[in-house]
Amino acid sequence: MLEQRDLLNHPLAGPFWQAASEGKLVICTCATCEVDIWYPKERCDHCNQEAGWRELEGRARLLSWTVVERALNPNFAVPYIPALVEPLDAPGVQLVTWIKTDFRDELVCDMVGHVAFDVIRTMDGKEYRAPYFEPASQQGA
Amino acid sequence: MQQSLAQLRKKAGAHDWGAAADLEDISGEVAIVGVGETAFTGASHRNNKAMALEAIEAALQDAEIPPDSVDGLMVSFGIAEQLNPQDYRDHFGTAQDIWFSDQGGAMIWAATCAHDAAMAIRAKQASVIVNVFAVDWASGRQQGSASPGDWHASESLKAALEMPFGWHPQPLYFATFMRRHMHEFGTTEEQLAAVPMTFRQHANSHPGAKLREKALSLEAYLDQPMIADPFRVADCCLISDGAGAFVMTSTEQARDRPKPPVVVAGVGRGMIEGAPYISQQKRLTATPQTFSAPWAYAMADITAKDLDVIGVYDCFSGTALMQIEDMGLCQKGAGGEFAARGNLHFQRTRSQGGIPCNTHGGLLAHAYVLGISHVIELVRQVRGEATNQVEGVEVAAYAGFTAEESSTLVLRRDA
Ligand SMILES: [Zn+2]
Repeated sequence: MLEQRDLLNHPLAGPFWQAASEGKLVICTCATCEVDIWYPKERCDHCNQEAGWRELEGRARLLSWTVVERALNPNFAVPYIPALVEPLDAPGVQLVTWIKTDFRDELVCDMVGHVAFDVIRTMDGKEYRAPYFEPASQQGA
Repeated sequence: MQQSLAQLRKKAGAHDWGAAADLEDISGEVAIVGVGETAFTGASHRNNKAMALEAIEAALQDAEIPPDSVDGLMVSFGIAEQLNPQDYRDHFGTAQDIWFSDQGGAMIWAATCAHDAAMAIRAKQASVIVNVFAVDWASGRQQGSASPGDWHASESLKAALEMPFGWHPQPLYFATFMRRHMHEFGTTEEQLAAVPMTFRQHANSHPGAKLREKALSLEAYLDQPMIADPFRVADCCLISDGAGAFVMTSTEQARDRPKPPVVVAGVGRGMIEGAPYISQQKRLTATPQTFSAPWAYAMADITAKDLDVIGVYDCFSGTALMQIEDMGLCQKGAGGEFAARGNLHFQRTRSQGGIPCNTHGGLLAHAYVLGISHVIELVRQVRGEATNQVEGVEVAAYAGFTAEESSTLVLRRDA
């Protein structure tokens, strides 16, 4: 597992983690071509200009998830819920994220929710401030 | 609908969520003339090279080919301690030149190696080519060394954008995709259960299958705790030690062998856009078999309807289910219902609406040797010498898989 500082300084994913540490969700994009570049790359495939980053509003659609019940990954205490979500304002981008286990009974594919931030603590003592998916309230705020 | 390679080539430029590799038409040029395997076990502390040599000895014996006639060797680049030409010569006490490729082995390469072998034979680089695969992950797991998740954990963007969320190892990816399949198509747990249950039935009557003695009822399946929902233990592949090998020659040369040649009729290879990141696959409920199967069928001049028996890479029940759909053997999304009707059983032939699948038990119940035994089993099916023999086999297909890539190998009885 990478240390938090390795994530913050990662040559391609660094800006994602820096933004997350400030409670913001950003993705790699080409402003000229107006296309998102995910996973991030140094340059745009279309125009070869240096890629940039843009901030998202933080609402997303839940593509799918799994509740991990068996300790397949030694760095995470079970149960935990990794998930794939698509930001509403970045169609086609698929973010790997996580869901807090107290939401497990509310989950349905394609439900819309918010991206919030909290600290992930791994079994090997790493801590990351990371985006997670929070289902929109069933009461419908 | 039957499609030609020319039609598929024209379509290949169109934007889609993946594409087929532009493989040369080698239909009918090579045949498999010998197959061999080691015993399949849990942690055995057998060495990969020793297991590979044992499998090769068995394959050469099956083909009745002396070791000094072999002039081509294909192995896997991705697995530690695979055989090289010098190991081969040292073991057999021979001195020949050996054409070598590390684009062989199992997974997708158990299919694509036949294409590469045909090209090498065409170019007169070799004439008798052995493809071999050995794995010791059962021992590796016990020692905490090599494991199937190693590569996935080391890749830079996976490490930075997936590992921090615990999206690792592979069971999680495909559990996530299977959950989506259940949502989109209404696939149920009971339907999914039909995949491991049918493969287990095959293993129960297959000598050498690791789970030969263990039956699996629906009640027992549903009683198993979840590993990563919707996958239970029975939905996930075994971890094994073992090796398999097969010998390829030109079809002409193959006709001189004592056993009937099993002809390579078609090969396909498909890859998702955005590889190697399957988290970015744009169709979560499908596999790149969607692209490889049509290519192999076009090369073989067949449609899915012509297949009599299949071997499908089943690292997880759900990936087998999706690949069966993507091979065109039932409607997309209907795989659960199709499997639950018993259609994958070896006695449910095509004329009865089935497609016998993984008649040796597959990765879920036979052994986790990453597909090399799937091909070996299909060779036996085409020859008519399988234990769970399907009646009247003319055409067989193997569906190989790595996640971001799939491959398809069509085999047929010699005309
Ligand atoms: Zn651009």
